[in-house]
Amino acid sequence: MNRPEHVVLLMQSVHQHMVLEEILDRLKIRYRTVVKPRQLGSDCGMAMRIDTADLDRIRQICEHEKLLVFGVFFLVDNRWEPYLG
Amino acid sequence: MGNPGRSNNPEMNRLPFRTRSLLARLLNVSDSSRVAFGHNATHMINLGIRGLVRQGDRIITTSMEHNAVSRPLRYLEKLGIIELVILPCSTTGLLDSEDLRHALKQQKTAMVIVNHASNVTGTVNDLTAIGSIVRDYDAYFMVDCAQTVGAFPIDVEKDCIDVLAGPGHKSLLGPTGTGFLYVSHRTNPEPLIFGGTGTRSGLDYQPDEMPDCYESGTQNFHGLAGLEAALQYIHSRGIAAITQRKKELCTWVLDGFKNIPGLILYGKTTPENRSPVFSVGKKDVDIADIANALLDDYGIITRTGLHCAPWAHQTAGSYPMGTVRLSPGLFHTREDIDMMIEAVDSVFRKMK
Repeated sequence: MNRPEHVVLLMQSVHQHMVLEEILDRLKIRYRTVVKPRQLGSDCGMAMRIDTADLDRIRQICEHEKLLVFGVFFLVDNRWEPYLG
Repeated sequence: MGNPGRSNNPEMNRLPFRTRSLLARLLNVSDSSRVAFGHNATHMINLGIRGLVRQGDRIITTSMEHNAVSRPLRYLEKLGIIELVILPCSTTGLLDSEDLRHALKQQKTAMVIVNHASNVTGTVNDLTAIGSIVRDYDAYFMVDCAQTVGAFPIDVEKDCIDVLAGPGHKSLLGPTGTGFLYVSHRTNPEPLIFGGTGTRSGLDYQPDEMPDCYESGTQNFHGLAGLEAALQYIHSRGIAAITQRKKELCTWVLDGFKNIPGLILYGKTTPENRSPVFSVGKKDVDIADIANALLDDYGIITRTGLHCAPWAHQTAGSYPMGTVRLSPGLFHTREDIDMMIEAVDSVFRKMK
C-alpha cells in the first residue's frame, strides 16, 4: 500500500489539540484543523490533518509534551482506517 | 462570532485557549488545562468548595472572608456536612500564621480557605507563609484572590495553592461575567454544573478532562476575548510595575487621609502589603450621607455598607453600620488622588 499523503490525528482533548497547534505553529510544521470525521466518533470535536511525512516528528513532540494521541487515521475508499505506518 | 462555542470554527477553541495560557503564565501554572473559566469569582469559589468537601470534613477559614466564601461554608455547616472553624484575624484583617498552625495541629483538616486580600481593609495576607503551613498538615489550600489577581504576584507553586478562584473584571481588567478556577494536580473537584462540553458528546457522563469537565454550557466568549486583551496588557506592563503602582496609590491616599479630621480608617495605615481599597467612616455620621456628598458634589463613586463581607466588618469594628469604601484603580493619577483627598476632606469637615 502506498503511503497516504495526509493522515488525521485525534487528540485526547480539545485543550491538548490547542497545545499541539501552538507547538506546530512555533515549529512551522504544516497542519490543518478540521471537523472530526463522523465515522471516527459522534463528538462535536476536531481533528488535525497533517502531512504523513511529519507524523513521526509530531508523535515525538506529543510524547515529549505528554500529549495523548487518541488515534491516527487515513482515508481509503471513502472509509477512515487506522494508520499503522 | 457565529454559533458560540460549538460551531465548526476552531477560533472558538483557540480564543479560550489563548486566554487560559496568558492567565496560567501570570499565576505560574505550568499546565494551563488546570485553569477553568466560569461566570465570576463567586461561581468559581462555589465550584472549588462544593466540589471538594466531603461529609465530615473539617474546614478552616478566617474572619475576613467575603460572603462568596462564608455563605457556601455556612450552608454546608448547616446541612451537617462540614465542621467549620473560623480563625479570628486582627482588626486590620491579618491572619496570624501561628493561630493557623495551632488550629491545624488540633485535628485533621481537609481544607483551609483564605482570601489573599480583604475587600474591606485591603490587607494582603502572606500566601507563601500560609501555604507552607497548610502543606505541612496535608490539607488543601484554597485562596480567594478576588482583590489581588492582576495586582499582586501569585505563584501557585511557591504558595502551595491547590485551588485558586478569582474574577476577570477587577485587577485583571477584563469584562464582568468572567471568572476562573485553578486546581492543582493534587485535587479534582466534582463539577458543579453538568452538561454539554462540546467534547465526548456520545458519553452519558461528564468527561473527566480539564478544563472541559468544569465548562459545561456556552461560555462567555465575548468576555474571554476582553479578558485576553486585558491579560496581554498586564503582561506587557508587568506585575511588578503594577504592584508598585498600587503601593504608590496606597502611599498617596494614606498620607492624605492622615490630616482629615474625624476620618476613621479601617485597616492598615501603612502601604506595605496593602491593596488600595480604603474603608472609612466618621463617628455618628451616616455613611450614606458621606457617599451621597462625594457623588453629588464631586462625582466620586464609592460603595457603602458591608461590602458582602459582614465577618470582615465585625473583625474591623465597623459592623453593623459598615463603611464608605474608596477604591482607586491602576489608571488613576496623582492628580486624581489629590482631588479625591480634597473632596473627602471637604465632605468630612462639613459632616457633623
